[in-house]
Amino acid sequence: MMEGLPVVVFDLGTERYGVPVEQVLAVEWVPPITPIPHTLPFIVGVVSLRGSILPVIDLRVRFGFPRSGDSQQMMVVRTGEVEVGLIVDAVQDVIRIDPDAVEPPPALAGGIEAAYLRGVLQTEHGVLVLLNLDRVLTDAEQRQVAEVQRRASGVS
Amino acid sequence: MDWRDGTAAGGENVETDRYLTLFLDEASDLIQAFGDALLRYERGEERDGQLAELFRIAHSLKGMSATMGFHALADATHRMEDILGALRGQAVPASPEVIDLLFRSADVLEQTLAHVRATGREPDALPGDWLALLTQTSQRLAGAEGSACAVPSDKRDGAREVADDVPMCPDEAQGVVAAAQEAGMTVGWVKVTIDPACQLKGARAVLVHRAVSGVAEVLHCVPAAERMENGDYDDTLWFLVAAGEDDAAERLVTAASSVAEVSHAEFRAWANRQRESSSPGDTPSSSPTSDGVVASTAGTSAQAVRDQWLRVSVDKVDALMQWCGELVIQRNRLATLLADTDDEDVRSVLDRVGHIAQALQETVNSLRMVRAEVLFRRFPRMVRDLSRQLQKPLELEWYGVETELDRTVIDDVFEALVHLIRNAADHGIEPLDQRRARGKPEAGRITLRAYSTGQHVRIEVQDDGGGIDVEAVRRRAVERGWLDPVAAARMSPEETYELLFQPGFSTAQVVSDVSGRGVGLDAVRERVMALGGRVDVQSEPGRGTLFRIHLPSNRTVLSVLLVHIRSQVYALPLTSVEEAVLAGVEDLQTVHGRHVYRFKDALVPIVDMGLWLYDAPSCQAYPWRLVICRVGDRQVALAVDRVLGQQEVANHPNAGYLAGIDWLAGLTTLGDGSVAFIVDPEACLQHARVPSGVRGGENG
Repeated sequence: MMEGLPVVVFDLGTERYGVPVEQVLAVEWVPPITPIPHTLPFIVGVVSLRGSILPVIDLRVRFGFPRSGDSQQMMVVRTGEVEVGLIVDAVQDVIRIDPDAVEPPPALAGGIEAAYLRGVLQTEHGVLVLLNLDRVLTDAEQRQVAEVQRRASGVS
Repeated sequence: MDWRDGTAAGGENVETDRYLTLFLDEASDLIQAFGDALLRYERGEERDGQLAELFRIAHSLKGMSATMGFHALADATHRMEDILGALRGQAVPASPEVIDLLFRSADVLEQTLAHVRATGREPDALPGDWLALLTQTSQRLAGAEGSACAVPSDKRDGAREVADDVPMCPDEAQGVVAAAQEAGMTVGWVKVTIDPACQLKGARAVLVHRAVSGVAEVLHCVPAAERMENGDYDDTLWFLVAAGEDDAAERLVTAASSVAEVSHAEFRAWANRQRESSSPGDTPSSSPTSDGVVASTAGTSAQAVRDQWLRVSVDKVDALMQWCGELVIQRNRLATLLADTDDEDVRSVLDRVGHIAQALQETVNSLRMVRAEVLFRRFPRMVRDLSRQLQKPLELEWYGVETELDRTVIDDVFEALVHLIRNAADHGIEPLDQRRARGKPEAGRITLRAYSTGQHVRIEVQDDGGGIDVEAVRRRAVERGWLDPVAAARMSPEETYELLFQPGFSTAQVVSDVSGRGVGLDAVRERVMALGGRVDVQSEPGRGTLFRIHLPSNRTVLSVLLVHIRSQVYALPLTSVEEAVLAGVEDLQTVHGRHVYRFKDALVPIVDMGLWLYDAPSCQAYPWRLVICRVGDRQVALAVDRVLGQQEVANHPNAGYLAGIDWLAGLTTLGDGSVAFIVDPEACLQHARVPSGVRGGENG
């Protein structure tokens, strides 16, 4: 299928997810991560990558799945001005999807709230869940900011 | 050539543009200086000196404007000059009305310059009422005081501004003049005109001679002393004098004028007769030295100052900064690659390159920076006006003038400070009767403070007023329907202060002329946030309020002290680091159950960084490794696991996820590719101030 929207497909837990290819800048083996104190658990730290320093988010932890110690990959994604490393189980492929075939997400898909999803779609490999990356990352950012404020104001 | 007609060739336009820029810069500096001197005059600080300064400035502005073909400006400044000249002859200080008029003049000139800057030409007309008032005032002053110390009138005849009637200096006096000048003395001619109706010309001349000799050494006189004594002169006496005091010119004029039947006395600073004579086409900067009632003791001419300055676009400086940053990083990489080399030459070259890169870095950094003084100097005038408007005595003081701010943020910070200062004067400082009742000094005090923590620049506006009325703020929020009363009552004072920054909030009991114009703290916050900074507020009932602006420092490369906390590398900005010490048990004391370090007679709170960040104490076996950091006028000792050494690092400012982490000022990559955290010492100090036990579990 040459027509359609190119999507990067990756595994997380038992599900298969997709994000538009233009949001993915690179796919890397996870480099050494420097943890940052006083951040929420899903922010696993920062990495130095070709001259820039990126915060890294463990997408499993972000969605409340159990952490996985297996071989993992990092997708470097961009939303707005911010570049972030996303740790996923394994990046599979880039496929093209038919945007018209995308259905609205159910309230909960693979344990993730609908708000973070763009939709779901049947493919030859099974169900593909399209993530709303902007939303996922903005929410993560806001939660971290709230965490910082909580700590700074001394409220426990 | 009239530069405004637009018919000039391209190359000439560039030239005239350049002159126009120079003119605008110089003129606005002069207007600023004019305002400053006028404030000092109003406060009664050395009035004669200030008047002389004001006169000199008006005169310079007049000359510069005429040279640029700005005739309305030249005419207006000429009228100001007349007023100032007349004031100089008066025994009594200027009336408040005259001072107000002069302040207003500074404003009008400033607005006129803004117009010139925007359009390249002067306005068609300056405010007519202002011009009329200037003329009336100068006539009134001149009429009232006779002509004890008139100013040479050169309104229509700029070309003859240099008094070519100054006698030639005899050769035998030249040596003395040169020596006196070399010694830094004031040298010049005193010109005294005797009333033509005078009956005892000889006696008057002797008295004048005596009066002048009482102030300065008379090197020569024209006509000769003998002819003077005999009354053998028309009506003008010239004395070539040298005096040590800076205000000699002033005193000479006063002394000579004190003699009866003297109709005019003036002082002309020594000007070498070999110099080119002044003409309207002359550069403006030469005019202050070519005549002037007061000797110009300032030394450097405007031309000399001008030649030392260069205006460069910020883009170019930015590019230079980036290359410098890159150079530093590459040097560090090289150093890492060659870390194991035994070659002494390689090491020495590497060191040298390091030093050069650092020096280059610092120089380029400084290009973008201006001192906080530039910012603060703009406010005394505003506070003065506020004081009159609000009928509250106000004092303004400031600290940290040497703190450097990025040039590109100055204007926005200025606007923010305007709001905060107005706010402090209007809402912060109590009315006079309340201050009296509270036993406070009558004059409300507004304090400006600037300091740098390396990663941030802080600017504070503090008042000693009544503090923020938390109840009133809550009530207002409820009235606005933002909150229900229960929620409002539950808010902490800090949360309540946040409400002040909401658009459309105003706590003023009366909507006043000063800050009730619908722009409030929300505008301040917006401006500061646009610069990547933030604003916070502290307040104490009855004691006052402090607004603090935090601005990111735009430095791309920092000198830091690298330390280990746990096994992670952290970087402390060297601008904050005072000293790294080893503290034994004997150096420590306990205050309220917390350890403090005794450092140069001060007790410095200790923050155990390992404990704070990792729950793994850095303070275990003695000696403890402490890095003493200074934040503004306070200190904090950071306990770390190991001190590694100094280095230059490239600063990656935080964004997104990491922007809010209080202790994290930035990130950097070390030579081996690992990431180090740049610490904000101020956040550590804040942490030290939180009583132990308040922060959830971190100290337990």
